[in-house]
Amino acid sequence: MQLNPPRWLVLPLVALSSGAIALPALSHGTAVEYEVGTAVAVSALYDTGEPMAQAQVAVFTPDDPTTPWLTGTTDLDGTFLFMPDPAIPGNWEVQVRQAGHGEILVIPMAAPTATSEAPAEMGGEESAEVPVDGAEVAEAIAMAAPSSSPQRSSAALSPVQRWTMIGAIIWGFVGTAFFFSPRKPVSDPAGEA
Amino acid sequence: MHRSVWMAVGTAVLMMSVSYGCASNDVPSSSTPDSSATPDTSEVSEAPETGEGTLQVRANGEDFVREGFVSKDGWEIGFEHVYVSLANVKAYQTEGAFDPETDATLEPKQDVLVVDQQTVDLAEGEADADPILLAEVSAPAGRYNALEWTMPKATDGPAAGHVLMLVGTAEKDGQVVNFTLRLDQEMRYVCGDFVGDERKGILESGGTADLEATFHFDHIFGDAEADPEDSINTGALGFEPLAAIAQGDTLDVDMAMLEEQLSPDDYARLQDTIAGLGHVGEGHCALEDLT
Repeated sequence: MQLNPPRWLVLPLVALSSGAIALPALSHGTAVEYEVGTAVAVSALYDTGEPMAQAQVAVFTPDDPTTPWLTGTTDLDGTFLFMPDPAIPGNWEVQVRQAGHGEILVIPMAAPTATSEAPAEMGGEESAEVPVDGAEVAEAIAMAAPSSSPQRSSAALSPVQRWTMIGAIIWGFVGTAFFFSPRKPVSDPAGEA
Repeated sequence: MHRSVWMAVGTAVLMMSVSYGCASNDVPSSSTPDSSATPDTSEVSEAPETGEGTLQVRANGEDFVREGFVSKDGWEIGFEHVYVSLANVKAYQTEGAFDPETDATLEPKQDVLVVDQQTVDLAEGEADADPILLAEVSAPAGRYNALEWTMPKATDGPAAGHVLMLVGTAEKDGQVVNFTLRLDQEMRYVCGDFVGDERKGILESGGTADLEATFHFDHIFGDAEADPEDSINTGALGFEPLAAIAQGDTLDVDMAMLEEQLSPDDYARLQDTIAGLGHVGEGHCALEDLT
């Protein structure tokens, strides 16, 4: 879920280095909602220090780099905040464009672990400077990204293990088939004679 | 062989197929290394990286070249020809992301030479024509997230002996200048991912993908539609200094003449803006002056 909060909300969030983030809904009505999870704050600046205010932002997931998972604009400080789907680990890409200048920022997001689901277990703050032009720089800060390595699939087997397993399966089927197959009467050449 | 044996063998073969299919999910198949760990994405990540597709590289002078524009100092500029000499155009798949504006080294895991040497006219075609197709080659599937090219002096054709040759007309307040600018600044550009309305360079097996070498001529002349204080204008030469050295209604100069006739500041600015021409869409490039 994407949240693109106003200026006052960004800086406190950027300052957080760990823990879940509860964001109040930006609503004039009575409905108040919040989200708890990992947030990424992207801060896009020209190298003059001027923010890339109202710049176009497109977020791409690791498994679909062609279709934006999320689009929006930076706020007046050049900040854009979103919550990546923790079920999609890998390199998330954030494209920021304004007035013919742009940059794609790659943000590695680790797979959630059993322990990282608890806020206290989430990893620390990451930051990266991203030049947007010879005279421009965007900065991204990924917050509360789990610091553990991506989860490995339990199905990952070495080739030896895999083919050993396949061989055992084949042998099991063949053996079972022979066991249950009806036996032909043993011919007795002597009896036939 | 007895029927039950055939059934057993058939079942075993089926199990082998299933096992192999699952196992192939363990191999990351795109440049997002962790995609194989993503739940329920095996089909998405499995298709690419096996086999080959068609990789195209295009050259684009943008609307500034095709449609003309007004410079920062009010000159209405139109181009008849914009010859660019290109060589060693290579597309790369890199290990992880490549950011050309850092000290990061390009670490290709796959490179494809698309163009050896070619001179192209960026003004060719109608105003709404597609960017110029330089070449297309068969290439291994994958994510091409970096592009390199050099701009040497052309060895033949109308722009022989020059890197860039701009032919066109500039008009302001009734004054017309027919210009031919022969520019000899040899450059090498190493660029990252394309930045624009669509993603480029994602080549699937049996598919077609393209990359684009983009040239921002507004960097040289500025853009009247942009804010005068925008860096695109504050850093641009504009056309006024060029009009000032025209002979009547004609300006036909090469770099040596420009260096001699322009002020040192204007000449230095021209050199800087020429160097900044190369982009990948709106994405920027590392550059090396080869002159």
